[in-house]
Amino acid sequence: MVGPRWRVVPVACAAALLLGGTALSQEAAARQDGRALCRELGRSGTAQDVPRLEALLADPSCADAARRALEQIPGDESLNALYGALDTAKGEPLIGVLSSLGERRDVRALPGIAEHLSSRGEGVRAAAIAAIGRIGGSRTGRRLLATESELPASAATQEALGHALLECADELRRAGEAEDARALYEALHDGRFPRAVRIGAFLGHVAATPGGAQARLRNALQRRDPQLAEAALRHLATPEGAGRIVPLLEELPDCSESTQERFVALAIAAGTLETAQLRRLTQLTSSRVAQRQALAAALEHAASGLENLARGALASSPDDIEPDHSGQEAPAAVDGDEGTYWDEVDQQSAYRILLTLPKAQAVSALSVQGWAQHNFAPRDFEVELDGAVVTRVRGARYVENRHWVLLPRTTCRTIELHITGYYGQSPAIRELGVFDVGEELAAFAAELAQGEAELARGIVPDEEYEKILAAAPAEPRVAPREPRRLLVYSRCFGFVHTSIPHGKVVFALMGEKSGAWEAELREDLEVFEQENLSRFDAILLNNTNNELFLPANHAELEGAEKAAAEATDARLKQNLLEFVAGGKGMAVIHAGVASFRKWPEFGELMGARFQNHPWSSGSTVVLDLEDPEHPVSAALRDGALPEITDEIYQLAPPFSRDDSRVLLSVDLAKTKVTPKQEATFLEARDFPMSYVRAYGKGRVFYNAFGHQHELFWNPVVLQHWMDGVQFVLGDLPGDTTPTNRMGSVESPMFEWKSEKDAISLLNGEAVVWRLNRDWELGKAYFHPLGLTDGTPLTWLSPPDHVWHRALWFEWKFIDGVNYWEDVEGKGLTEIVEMDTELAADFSARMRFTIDYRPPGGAPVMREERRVAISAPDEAGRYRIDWSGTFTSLGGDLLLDRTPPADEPDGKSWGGYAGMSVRLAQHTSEWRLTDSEGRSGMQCHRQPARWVHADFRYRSTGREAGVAILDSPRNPRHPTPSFIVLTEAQPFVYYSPAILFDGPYTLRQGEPLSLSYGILVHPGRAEREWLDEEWQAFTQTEAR
Amino acid sequence: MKTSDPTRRDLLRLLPGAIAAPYVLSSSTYGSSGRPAPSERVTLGFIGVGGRGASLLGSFQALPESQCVAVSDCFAARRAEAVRVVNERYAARTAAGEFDGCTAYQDYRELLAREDIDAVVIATPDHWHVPIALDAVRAGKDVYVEKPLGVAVSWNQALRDAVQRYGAVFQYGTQQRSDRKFRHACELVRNGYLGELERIEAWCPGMAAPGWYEQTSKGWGSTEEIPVPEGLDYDMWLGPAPEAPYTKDRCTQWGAYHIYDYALGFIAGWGAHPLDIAQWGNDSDGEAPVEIEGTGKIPEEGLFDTISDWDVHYRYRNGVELRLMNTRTAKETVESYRKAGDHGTTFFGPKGWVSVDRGGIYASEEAWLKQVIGPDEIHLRESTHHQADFLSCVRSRARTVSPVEAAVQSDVISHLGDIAIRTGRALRWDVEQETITGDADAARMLHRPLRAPWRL
Repeated sequence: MVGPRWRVVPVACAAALLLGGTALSQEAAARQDGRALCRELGRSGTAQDVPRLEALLADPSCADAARRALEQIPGDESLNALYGALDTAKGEPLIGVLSSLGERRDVRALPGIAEHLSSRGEGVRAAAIAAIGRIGGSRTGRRLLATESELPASAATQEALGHALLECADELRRAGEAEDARALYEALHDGRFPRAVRIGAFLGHVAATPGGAQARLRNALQRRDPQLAEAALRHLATPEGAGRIVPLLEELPDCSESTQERFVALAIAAGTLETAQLRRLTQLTSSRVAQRQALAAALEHAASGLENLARGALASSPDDIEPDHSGQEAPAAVDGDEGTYWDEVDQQSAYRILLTLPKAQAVSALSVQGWAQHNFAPRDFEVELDGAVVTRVRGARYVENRHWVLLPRTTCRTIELHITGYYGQSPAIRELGVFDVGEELAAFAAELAQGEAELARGIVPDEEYEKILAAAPAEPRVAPREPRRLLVYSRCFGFVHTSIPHGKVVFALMGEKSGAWEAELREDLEVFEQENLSRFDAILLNNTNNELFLPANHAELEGAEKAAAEATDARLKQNLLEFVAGGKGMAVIHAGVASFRKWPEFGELMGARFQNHPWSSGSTVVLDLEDPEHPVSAALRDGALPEITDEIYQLAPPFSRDDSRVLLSVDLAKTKVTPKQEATFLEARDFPMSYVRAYGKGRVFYNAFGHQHELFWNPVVLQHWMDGVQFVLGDLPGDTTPTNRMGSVESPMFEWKSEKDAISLLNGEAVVWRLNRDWELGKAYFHPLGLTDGTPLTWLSPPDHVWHRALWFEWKFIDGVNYWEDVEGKGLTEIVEMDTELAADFSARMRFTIDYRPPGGAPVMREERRVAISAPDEAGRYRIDWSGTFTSLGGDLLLDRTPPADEPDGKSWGGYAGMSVRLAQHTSEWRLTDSEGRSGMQCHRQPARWVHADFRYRSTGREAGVAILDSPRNPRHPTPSFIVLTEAQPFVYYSPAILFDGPYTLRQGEPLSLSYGILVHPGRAEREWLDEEWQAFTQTEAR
Repeated sequence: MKTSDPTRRDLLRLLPGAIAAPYVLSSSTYGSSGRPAPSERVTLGFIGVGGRGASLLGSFQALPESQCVAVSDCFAARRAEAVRVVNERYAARTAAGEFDGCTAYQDYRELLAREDIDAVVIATPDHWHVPIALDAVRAGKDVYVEKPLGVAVSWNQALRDAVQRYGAVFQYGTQQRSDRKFRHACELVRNGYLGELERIEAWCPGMAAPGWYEQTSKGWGSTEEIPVPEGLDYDMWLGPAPEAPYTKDRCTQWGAYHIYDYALGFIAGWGAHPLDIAQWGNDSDGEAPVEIEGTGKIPEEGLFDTISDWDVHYRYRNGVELRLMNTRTAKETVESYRKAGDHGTTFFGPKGWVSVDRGGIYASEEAWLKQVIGPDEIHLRESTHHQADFLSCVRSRARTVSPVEAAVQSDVISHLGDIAIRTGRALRWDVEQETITGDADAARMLHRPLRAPWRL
């Protein structure tokens, strides 16, 4: 569809009127362009030009331009003209008039504008309200507010009203009419106004009432209304607000944690806090993030007065990695030496930086400034002083792009960083700081570190703590993509497992030791409020049990208290569901599956319910590792855990292998079962011990272990839990296809999916192939063209040639017009008609009618395209039979291409067009061959019956191939191939290039038919088989 | 081979296109439950995803503390490509290797109506910067706005009012402030290493300066009307700008830069950078110079009608002089003391000079370049990454390194230069009232009316 066209409309009569004017340039008059004249008058017209502009207001072709000119001409004449137009203009022009009057800001216009407040048009109403807000004036706001009940109810009107009233109130405040302003601000606090307006009203109110500001802020910060807390924080961020921060410090414990974190960040940013106050902050806030921020600020504070010893040091990089100068920006270490802290070669296993001080000096802190927060920065590293490892950092967390490391105060000459893990593809250190920060801060930091450690220690006996510490994996299974926060939730009612403290220690320590995550141990309700929950990447339910979100005394509550508790319960439950469904994760151990027994949705989330424990604690069962290849099963492989001694659960529906993927279960055949146990078995006789599943966009992991204390220092169990947690955090990829739906070549689960823009053959969730219809561009193409396991073989719109549409057919020039690239002035195609037949055996047939036309012109050529796709066979192979019949809709058409190098004006890349395939980005080891025994670039411009490439998928090692078969009925059969084979991007493209050796004239009344087969197969293919397939194609090709 | 449930398959066959994208009309569609307080990840919408917008998309997406969830553009192909790229980049980071969480909008107002978006990044043609930013701030969003700010001083003022009114976080796309070289140069000036600052030279490419774009802008644009291409919402592209016939060069990057209806030209579009640094070093983020006089050229033919070459002299209230030039005009002057680059800012004081551009920092005293600014000296806000600074402020509500107040003033300098050249008169600027005094016609140029139905 062609968009609207704007035209310069000559306005003969209007121009004639204007020609007598005084302020016109000759040029504008000569163009007789009404709008240009209006523009000219807007810039330099005077009161005497107003009548002419007023006349033009009636001319639709330039009414708005005239209105704009009137807005610009000062004086009462133009104002009156605009005012008069309030009666005559309608719709959009009226909106313009209202806006102009608003910009003129003259209170005399208010009565006329107000008449439009009840307009039926929502846009007019909003424009009238906005104009009144812009004009303001001493009683205007109050009057406007009084009309609220008479305004037609609509969200847009209410929004406009809020913004306008706020503008009025702010103007009153600036004019010193604080009382009136406050009245408006108070009215605007109401929930019927949009969030931004309420925040603005709070800010205005505080500014209008300096005396009451402190109390107002205190209230707002503590209120449960997140909008008010937000507003208070916004005020504290302003220069006036910064001075109000210190008196509010003590209120911190009463704020939500997200408010605490943001308050602390602001307090630090204000830059006025002394070390003692920063220290106080760490005691007041319960958020570890805020505590760390305060410590970092204190260190920053101290370091700013100290000498950075790194500046006097000699820096070297003894890791033998030479810079490759591929970095984006000039490396700029502070010492001016480009090489100092810059190991820009990516993906190395270890990087080293060695600083040698001119003489031995005392060192007690390091600061590492990364490239940008957690994007290219050291993550895991050891610090060696004079060759001795003094500190090991795991999962470094950056605050304002800096990470501080406190060291035992040591006198040394060399400081070495041995970096083994990093955020992004390599560590980039902008600046390294080496300081001796003094006793006080070191003590402060030690206190904080102690506090963090104490959080987990002390809740289990010391010797058990040590065993857990020893058994916990030292490295994460996979490096976290970004710093992760895990909520370890241990609220519990009814039967309370005595292993809950062990779970807390395990999940806190595992995260800390490996750097895989940071755990927060909680048992309160507050943490499930949305603003608190959103800080986490996953939840771990640590042996929780029964209704978790009701207060302990719920049964005793009555009336309003009971209702409030139930409202909280409902809200927090919803938060939990949305958290996981929205893309985050939940891991559950042992009794956690028995949580929320009265809440059906939890069963849906868990995919299971607790039934009973047929084997009581201390029983031993034999385990069956059903899915050893699954990443979350890795710790259990090779008989690492043949049996388990624990309290063994039986799960109840909705547990089903149709929607959960079981990794580990009780091997019933090998486990002793008593008749009494047998009697409690459900019909399914299924005892899953570990499973994973998807919920919405999120992930769930369940493991049934966790009753016996000794399991909490079993290295196999801990590693399995770590893998499960990393899976739900989103770091460890794992398939959640349910056990009973696991797709394989033997038992594919094909399904059609038909959408407006695409038809897809799915195998479970994997896309086998998809035919895309881009209605806007009039293109139909295949992408992805894939294997039955979803491995895509094609590349859509690679950055080097965005018009490469995976597997597609396109002409280059039709009668000189380019249809190939997406460039300005290109030829257009339009899918006029299409028809689809999706068969029950998962073969498909499609028919397209496609018109080709030059820009702005009528169609010149029509294509009848038929595409038949066979169902994938048992080996996962399938063939697409593609044929197109092209008919000229007028005279003869010249189908042409960029001439090849040997022709006049030829180019080295000339010759392409037609049926084309562009292989997927992540492939390598291509073997390109043709029917005549050539390979690689030898095939270029050589006639062939087929061209084929097979290749290897880099990440999975999967091999596959795609052949294009040339029909013997094609006019230039065997068609020369056009080949591009460049490893760099990669750029692998091949095509039977019908026009390679010369253009083709499509004569009127003599349609051109082309036909090709596209063969897709897994694995590598041999010549014999391809020849057979070509033979088969020539016999059976679909017409 | 198993087959799936035939009933379901038949249903799908009967209803092609049954799965439609959600269509969002207004914020009320999402209910008034209130959105969650900003979590650790800032959700972003991108308005304008052409050259600069796409590059910002990449910069933000590389920062894990952000999540790009929506894009909007008047060009269908651009928004589709942006969504594809965003989803692909995120897919590579997810466990499942899949991601489809980014949505394209033809109309930016639909994007703004989404309650789950914390902040927007605006990289449209210049005439759209302020109207969109105003709508965004009123919708409760924080804004990252590309330079230059607005096509009229009155628009800039309206935006500043709104940013303050709603307590929005604003970052101006003058990323030189997040580069240590520029910060160091300004800290040298602020701390008096040059003695009391006397004058500043700022220069940048003009319309026809030698370089990579010379070829493109040859001929100053076609005025021949042609049909609006498919996939472009031209009426939306024009937006508040006057009606105009579509031509080949109008809606290109170069048209948007060099047509007066949409921009002031590079006196603002590129000038924003060296002027921003001049203002930072001169400690004058809160005000523009008071006296302005200048000369310049405007192409006489073709579509492009912004100032191509200029030489403007300004004087600040504190007596400091500022000279703004395009590269070609500046060449000789600059080469008298340092090797010329196509842009830069130089500060002069009685003890010497310091000059800075993206390629390096130069000074009359070599030692200044390695000077460590002491703990008791003035330190400017340290930002090492302009986009990360914005995200960090969105979370903390702290003031960004390039706040709206600074953006307004540096842009005003460009406007005053433009008006002085176009009127051919010396101007006086009242920093308190923020208006031109003693020249009503010139003052009239501080405002531009908007095409209906758009308004400030």
